[in-house]
Amino acid sequence: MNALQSKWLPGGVFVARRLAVTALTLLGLVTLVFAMIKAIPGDEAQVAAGPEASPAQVELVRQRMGLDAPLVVQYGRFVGQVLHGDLGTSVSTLQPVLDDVLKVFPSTLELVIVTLLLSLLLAVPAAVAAATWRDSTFDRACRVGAVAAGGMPTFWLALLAQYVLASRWGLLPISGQQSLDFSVQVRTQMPVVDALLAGDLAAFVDALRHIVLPAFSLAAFFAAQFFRTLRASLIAILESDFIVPVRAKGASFARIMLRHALPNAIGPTVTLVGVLLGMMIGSSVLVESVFGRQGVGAYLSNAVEQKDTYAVLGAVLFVGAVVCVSNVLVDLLLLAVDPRVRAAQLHGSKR
Amino acid sequence: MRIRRQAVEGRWGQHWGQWGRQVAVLGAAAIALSGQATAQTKFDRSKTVIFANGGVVATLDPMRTDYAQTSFIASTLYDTLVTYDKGGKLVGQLAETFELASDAKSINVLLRPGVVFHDGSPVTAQDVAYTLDRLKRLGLGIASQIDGYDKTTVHDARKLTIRLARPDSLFLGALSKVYILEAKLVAANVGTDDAQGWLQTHDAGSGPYTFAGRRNADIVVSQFPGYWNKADGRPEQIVFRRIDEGATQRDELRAGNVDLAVLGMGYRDAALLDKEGRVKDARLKPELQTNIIFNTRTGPTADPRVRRAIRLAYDYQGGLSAIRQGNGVIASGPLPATMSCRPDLPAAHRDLAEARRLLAEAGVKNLQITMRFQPTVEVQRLEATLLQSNLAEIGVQLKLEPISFAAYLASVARFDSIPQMMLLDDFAQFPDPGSILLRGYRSDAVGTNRSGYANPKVDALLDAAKASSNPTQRCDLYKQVQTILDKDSVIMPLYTVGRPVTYRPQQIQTPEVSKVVFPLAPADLRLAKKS
Repeated sequence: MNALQSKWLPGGVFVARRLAVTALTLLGLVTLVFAMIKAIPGDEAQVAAGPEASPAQVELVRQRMGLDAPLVVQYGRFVGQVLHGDLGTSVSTLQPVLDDVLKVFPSTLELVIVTLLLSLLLAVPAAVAAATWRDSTFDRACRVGAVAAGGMPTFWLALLAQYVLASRWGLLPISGQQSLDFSVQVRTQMPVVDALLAGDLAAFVDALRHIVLPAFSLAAFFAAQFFRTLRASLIAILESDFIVPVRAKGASFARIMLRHALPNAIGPTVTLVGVLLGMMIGSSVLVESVFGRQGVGAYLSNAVEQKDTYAVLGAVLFVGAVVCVSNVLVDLLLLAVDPRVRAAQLHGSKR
Repeated sequence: MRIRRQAVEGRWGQHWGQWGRQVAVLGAAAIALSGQATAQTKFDRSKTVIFANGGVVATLDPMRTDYAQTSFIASTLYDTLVTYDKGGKLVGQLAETFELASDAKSINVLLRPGVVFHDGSPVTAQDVAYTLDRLKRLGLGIASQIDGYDKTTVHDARKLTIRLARPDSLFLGALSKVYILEAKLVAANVGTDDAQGWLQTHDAGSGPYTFAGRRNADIVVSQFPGYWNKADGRPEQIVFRRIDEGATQRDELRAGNVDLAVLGMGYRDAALLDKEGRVKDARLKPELQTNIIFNTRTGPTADPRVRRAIRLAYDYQGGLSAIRQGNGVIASGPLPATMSCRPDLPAAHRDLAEARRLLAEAGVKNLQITMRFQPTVEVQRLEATLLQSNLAEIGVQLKLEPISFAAYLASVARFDSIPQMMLLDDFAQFPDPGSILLRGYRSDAVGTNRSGYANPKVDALLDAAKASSNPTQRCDLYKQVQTILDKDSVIMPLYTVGRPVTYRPQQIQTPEVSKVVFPLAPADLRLAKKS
């Protein structure tokens, strides 16, 4: 084995192993969701044909959609389609599920990105301050706040924030994604990005104002998780041996925190971001409903209500794929930046 | 040693620096691109109506107007051959004249002259034939209303004959739900799915509005200047905004951000807004009735005396005032009170002594029955609970089990799996009594006869009505059917239901109920007259 092989082979094996696990995870997800959706009482052919369709019409639709085949055949057919990039056809829109999901996903993605940024913006400074002044009044107040925010139902918080901040005080828009006063060309289905691309600052601010409350409602829970994880990691790092010589050398607080403590403590939080991303997309359904936003959550909830098997499967699979890919990316990111993780994953060392 | 140093120093700082530079480059690229953006036309708010409704608009294909959300929008983009006026009379829309043959097996239609589609092409008999043939081919959605369709014979550009496979006097009324497509345009975009994909986001109609596009979750339609039926006060634009939460609809109305809210707001919120004064509740009364459907085939409810006893136990007046906030009227027969051809039947009422007597006569003791309801409908949950407590007074134990509508439809697909009792809103797609009676009570209507009721006499009366082209005779036959159904207590009618439709009188005139678009047709909305 030459030097090049010894350098790249472990990384290649790791990536291949990670991708294989991801593929198996997605297959397991498809199987589980397929079984669950078939177990729910209801008839997709009846939904597609309409509530007043005659039995003959329902049968015709059933045959046309291949729903008359045994479940195993339907499952096999679906997996085969997925491998060819086809997530099936929705019985309510009668369109390819992938097309439907791609139309609404950008809106959810925009909400999730803003939520993530807001969560980190709230959690990181608070965790830094809380860890620095451990057991101070500020630390205690932050911990109580984190417990409250972590335990508060998103749906309730969304309704409360909407009522107080938007309806009563008029500080922010009540619902929607953009005011009628602003009309920019839709390019990405993400109003904030579209406004930015259009160079319309007023529209950008308006779209941003529309996303603040939904993102805040969603961010409260996640900010609490990030705060607790980061605070604990920071406290451990600040108490570790290697910080002592740094302090002894007379490094400033900012240098200790930003150059030494935070970079070494943020790993678990980054991992948590990857883990919680799926939950963030899942929770978006409640927020999208309260604030009248389109998105994959609203699409999925409608699909479940309509017993739209392929829409549910396709949307879950799509979200699952996004979560799996983001987890792989987080792993690779950690691998690239944290030598301890790299040593443990590639060389079996736990140094 | 190298690992240790990197652990202390970390690479985050370096990466943040690199990412910062990348973000700056992306931002600059975004700003550079922004110069190419094209702004869309702005709205004149004073001439725009913002229409909030609960539920997703899955498609704009008018084939799916069996869904209220699609029906709202399709009814602005398309015309039908015939429609029902406010009095429930069938009148021509695209059809200048129409006539059902005496054998009820064909309909002659003469199209109105000078009507054009949104691209300026004239509406012709060929377009009508194409639309009906497409529905027959696909067999989805509203196609269930015209399953007797055979073919269309086109005589010339304006004259056509629609031929039916069997006598069907209901067919003419069902045409009020069939929106006519521009054949040439649809055929050009037919794809592999008979243009279902294309029609999901395009219009091919001749209606008073054209599809102006989607704005995120909103769907916008703009007035069609070439529309044949001009009307004063029609809004220039209608923005359909999906808002599922009643509380959000309420607050947006209060703030003046939406002008009308349907499907989503509860009776209490609507009543509260109406009381405040700035927003009013139109309290529309569509062709909608809340019923409890009995399983008439098996179990204790197969005995008409048990069904009658259950009907006599419910506190109708209490439920109407406390749960529905007085929005509706107590039912008096199987059909909604707003429909024609109804016999003079007594209103549902409470009589506990008679209920107990009927149960004793039927020899029923310690009766335990189960009723299914849709938990997502708040008023149904309350009504089910009220019935549970009312039945306890006559010694009947009612078990309540939630069920989704999709699961319920699957359960009635066979007569042997019909739930013992089901609380359900029954709605007529068009206001012909036969549209409810034929699908609901014919013994062979598996899937839509949700009580499993079988009565040869009723079948014969319904068949005779369907085959008759004489409106008076049909009306008489329908009345006989309803009298039998009431006597047999096939269902337990509760209320002809009023629906809260809250609106801002500063922006629009009081909305009126529609006979074919549930509960109102957005194309009928008119801007408020400014003083």
